[in-house]
Amino acid sequence: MTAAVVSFIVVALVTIGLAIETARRPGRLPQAAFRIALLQGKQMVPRMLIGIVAASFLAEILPKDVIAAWAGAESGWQGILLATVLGALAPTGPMVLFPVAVALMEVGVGLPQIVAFLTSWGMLAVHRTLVWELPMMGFRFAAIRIAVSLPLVPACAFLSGWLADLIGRT
Amino acid sequence: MSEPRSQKRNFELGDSFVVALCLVAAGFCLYLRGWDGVERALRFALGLTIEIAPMMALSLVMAAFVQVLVPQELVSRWLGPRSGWSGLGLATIAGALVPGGPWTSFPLLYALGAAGADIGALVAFLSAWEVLSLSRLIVWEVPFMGGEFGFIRAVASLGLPIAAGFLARRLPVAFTLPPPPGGRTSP
Repeated sequence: MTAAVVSFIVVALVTIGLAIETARRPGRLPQAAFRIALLQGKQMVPRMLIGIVAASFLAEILPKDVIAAWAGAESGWQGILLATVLGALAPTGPMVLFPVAVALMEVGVGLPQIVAFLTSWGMLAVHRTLVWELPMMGFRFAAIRIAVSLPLVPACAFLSGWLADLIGRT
Repeated sequence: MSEPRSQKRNFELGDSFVVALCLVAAGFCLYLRGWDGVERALRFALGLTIEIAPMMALSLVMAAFVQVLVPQELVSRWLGPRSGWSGLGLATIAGALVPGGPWTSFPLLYALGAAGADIGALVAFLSAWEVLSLSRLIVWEVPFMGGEFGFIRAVASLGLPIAAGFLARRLPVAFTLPPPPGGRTSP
């Protein structure tokens, strides 16, 4: 909650700064800006609402026991792949994700697997694509970005495991 | 991909995909979790909507100001199709510095695209926000996971945005931004 309030205040301050700068420029820029915001909102809001409902149903049917079973597994690349899938499906913001990652670390999940989980949540999160990427950027952008990100997530996990070995962290 | 090139059609394809996914997930939810599960999901959706609505409205206004302020020729020179590695690097730095959630990053992403940034720069920008966001590292990751973990993960992720942008430029798929607000879109 506090983090949300802080980021709201930051964005509000930036917006006020931009508004002042826009008003100082010649021409009818503020009116143009508000027209853009209004039209973009009208275009996005219905699509976002459907995306939010879809993500919520997905969250409800996600099998939570799979995560527990996975934690016991001595995983390697299979664990990394599973972590990648779970991270992509985690329908949540950082306020739920990081506590889950801490819990995973405490039950002995490996560092590369946790990195895969967090990185996949970053790059491949299904809910973010549904709620934000498709409505704003369209199908084609999402398809290209996801295609190039798929191999990069496990690559990052392996690289982090190698780095952890290098600096002597198990 | 073999669908027609028209931007509007891409948009509609994405829309119907989400609607279909929503219906299928709702059906599974009812089958697996019953009406209680459906109610929980809808409550969650309502809570999330209320939570992000004010931030969203504000960020749309912010991004619109960016759109009218940032000169187009500047963006297309620095982040355009011919911006090369420096464009990818610049987009990565910009993405890592963007604070907040998707309500901030996506309107900015659209604004950059509208101002002439190419697919590589856009993918690098979004990827950097996703895996290198400084504010997320400081506010969430280091407190929860510890400094050493945050350091290892961030270093391992340093190359990701540039690699993603580089690959995106090389994919033989043409990308065009969805119709700009105020274009030919019907209500």
